Amino acid sequence: MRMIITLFVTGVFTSNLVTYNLLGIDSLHSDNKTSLSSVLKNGFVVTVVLLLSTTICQPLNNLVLSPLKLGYLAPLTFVLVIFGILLLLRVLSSKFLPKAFMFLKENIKVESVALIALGLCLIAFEYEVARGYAMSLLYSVICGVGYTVVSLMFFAINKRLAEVKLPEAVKGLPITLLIAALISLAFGGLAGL
Amino acid sequence: MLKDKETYSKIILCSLPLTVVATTAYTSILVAVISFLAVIISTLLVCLLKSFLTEKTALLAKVIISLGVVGVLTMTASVFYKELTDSVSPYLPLISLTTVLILSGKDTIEATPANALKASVVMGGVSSGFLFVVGILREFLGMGSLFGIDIYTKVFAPMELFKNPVGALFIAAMLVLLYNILVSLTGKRGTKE
Repeated sequence: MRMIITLFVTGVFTSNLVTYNLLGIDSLHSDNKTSLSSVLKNGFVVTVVLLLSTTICQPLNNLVLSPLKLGYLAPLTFVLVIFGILLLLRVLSSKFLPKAFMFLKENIKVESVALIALGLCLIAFEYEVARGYAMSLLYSVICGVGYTVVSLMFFAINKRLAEVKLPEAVKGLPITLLIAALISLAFGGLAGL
Repeated sequence: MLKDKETYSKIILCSLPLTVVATTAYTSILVAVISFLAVIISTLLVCLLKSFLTEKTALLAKVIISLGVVGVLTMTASVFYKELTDSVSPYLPLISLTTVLILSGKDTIEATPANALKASVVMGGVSSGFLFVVGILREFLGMGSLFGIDIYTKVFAPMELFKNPVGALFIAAMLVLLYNILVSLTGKRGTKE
């Protein structure tokens, strides 16, 4: 139980994919997520992609690439797996869930989600290997939850900022980066909890 | 090109994940050079191979081409600067996806090689310059040195905050803010004249 709590604090707060590894800020900066439900749906899609990519990539790395000393092929393999997962999600949703397919088509930027998933596979794997397969899967879900939490925070802060008159130079990218920095600073305070 | 606010915002947002490893001037130069060369070589290769690519395969082809280019550049860099390359190696494959994200607005499939090269030099240059400046400022403010040479640590204690990714976010925000202020000042002066 203690390990799960530690993983939760690490994945959601101290080593958050957005605020610590700076992955996926580009998808949070865009203004297309105007409602709470779209933010939550986006977070759910990212969580599913992270879980599926870890489910496939970690055994592939541990059982095939590392024993055959083909570690240099890992990024290419991971990218192919991640794009395969994204394609599969699109095909399946187009057949069985037309509304979800429309959401994926309109709101999800394939390259951004692939960047987050590749980042998790490449950066977090060294920590994940020591924890075991089940914990890795849990950690990938927690990282997805962390992404969703930060998305929600961005959504709430942007909603409040829309009512405030900001100086022209601060509008847009600078305020997004400042929000991310302040969230990162706040989350960093939980290190060593 | 730089006066197009959306374009430079996108370039900076796409380059953000790479600033995590740009903690010193040397690492930032390495990441910036590899990123710059990857953008240019990938664009040229995509232009040369455009007759074989369809709309559906273009994205994956771009990612695989840029991954290959980044892989070759990383291997070349590790021959000359092994320790430096090893210290940033987990983040280097991400350059491939940031390259694709940077170039996603410019349709390299449609453009002629000369136009695509021109656009990629500008965009790659902005991205690399941003990484280099962030690296230098983080080393100066976070470690009190420049290119490994001690500047002020005996007089003042460096601000350790800038060693962390939060520091990269703050510096990026301040750089964009400064740029926006300068653009608005020069714009006002231009209208007065």
